[in-house]
Amino acid sequence: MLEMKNVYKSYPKKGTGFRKEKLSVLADLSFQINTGEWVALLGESGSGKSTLGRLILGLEEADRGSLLLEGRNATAWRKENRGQMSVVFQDYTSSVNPAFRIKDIINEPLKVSCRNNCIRETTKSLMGKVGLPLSLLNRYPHELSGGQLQRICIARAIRTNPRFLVLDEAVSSLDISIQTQILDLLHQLKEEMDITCLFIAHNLQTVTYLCDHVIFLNERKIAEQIETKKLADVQSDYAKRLLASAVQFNGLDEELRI
Amino acid sequence: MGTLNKLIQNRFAMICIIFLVTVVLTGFFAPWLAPHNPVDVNVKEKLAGISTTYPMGTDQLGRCILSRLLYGIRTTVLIAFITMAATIIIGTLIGGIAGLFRGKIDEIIMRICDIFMSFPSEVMILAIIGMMGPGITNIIIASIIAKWAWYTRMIRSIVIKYTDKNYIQFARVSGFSRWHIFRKHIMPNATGEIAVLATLDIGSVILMISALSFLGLGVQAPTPEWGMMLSEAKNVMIIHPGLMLPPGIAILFVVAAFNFLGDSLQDAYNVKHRKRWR
Repeated sequence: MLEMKNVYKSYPKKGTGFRKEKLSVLADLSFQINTGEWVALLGESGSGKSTLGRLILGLEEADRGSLLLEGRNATAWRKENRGQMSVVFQDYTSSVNPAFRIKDIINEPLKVSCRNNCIRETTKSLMGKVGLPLSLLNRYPHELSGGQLQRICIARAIRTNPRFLVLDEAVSSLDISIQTQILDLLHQLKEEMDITCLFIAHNLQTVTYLCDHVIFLNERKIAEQIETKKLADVQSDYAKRLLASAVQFNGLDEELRI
Repeated sequence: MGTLNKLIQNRFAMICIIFLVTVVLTGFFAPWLAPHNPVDVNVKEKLAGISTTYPMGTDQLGRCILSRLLYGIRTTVLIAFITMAATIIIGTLIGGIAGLFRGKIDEIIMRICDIFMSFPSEVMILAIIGMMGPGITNIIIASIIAKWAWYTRMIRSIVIKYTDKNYIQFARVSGFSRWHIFRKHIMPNATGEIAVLATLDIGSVILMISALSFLGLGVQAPTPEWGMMLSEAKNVMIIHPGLMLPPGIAILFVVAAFNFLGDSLQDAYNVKHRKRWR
């Protein structure tokens, strides 16, 4: 589905005057995601996770390297397959237009990939799928809670049955109980729909629950890529450190529970 | 609707709105409301005091001050509205293009704006009117040339603020065109902020038009205009200072009303957003 080869990305440094100094964010990145796979991207803050997501979504251009989607140049693929790539962001408050009603927010993606006659058919089932009542459709975003809004964002993201979905820390800003509900919803979507997904996160537990593969991103590069069920066999120091910290945290969690 | 409700609840804003609407309507119906023709000269009645025939007296040429004041609304406020509307349209178009496309287009537009903004607007207006000559059309053109760069910069920053929002990023990922994003997402949200800018600035446009007419560079005699009425009154300021009061007070009240309304609009707009994501 997605293949990335030797991708480099940098941003211009601020305040360097006429000298074009750049800050490297991603260096020599190569990996691939097969169709139907859910791949997690794990790393510290500032490791380039979100930049990588933005490159795939077409919100940023890579400096060098190639990005292929289903064997084709990503830009050309996106133009030919409008609505087939979607995203759920971390910040749900700025993810919805405050001037739109919920039904308009959910149905907006259809305007690029579907005619109006299919709108009525699936809005109802979609609201059911994300576990929200139909009465919310005529409300405005500020009338909804954070969890409800993030569900709306997920409903909008899957509105056009996309083939590729990027979840950019989609559960990080929610409280624990809502996180569990959203993770269950995503798990259910994974089972029901044929979607390839890049799950950007920094919480190992959510990743093991949802994803088939894990990519560890450290200092602009891929530290390791491994199947989720083989996580115990990680080789790189960074991945080991990350896993060790998660295990310690779990241990502490267990102690507290006792 | 939130902004409108806040505005209606603000009593002071409502007084300003009612006052300004009354002023505009009075200007519109001036031919029916004015007791005399504003340009009719009657030297026998020059500098006459307040009477039933002349409710505000007459000027040094015997023209009815009330009639000139009422007709002056048409010139002063209409020029201000036209100038502001044209400046906003130009600013929105160019600022929108700069904010949406960014990159080289943005750089070029912003450097041109820098050039225009490096001159004091009063000096630029005087220079343009000096080249083109005095007159209503030339005042409007000069004002637009002096103001468009500032509006372009402000509207660009508003557009950039919205393009960073996740719902715009989502629309881009979905494959919507820049025009669709501008029309459906950015403009409806930015209109409130642009309206605040315009309302706060329209008072200064009225002052500028009046100042130019006062200097003899704007509206030409015998067209009634508040700045020019002040200019004519200054010739008899020593013997008849009261002549300066009607146009002076009219300018003061209209400019103050626009400024207060702009402030109230800004408050109403900000409160709405604070409340939404509380």
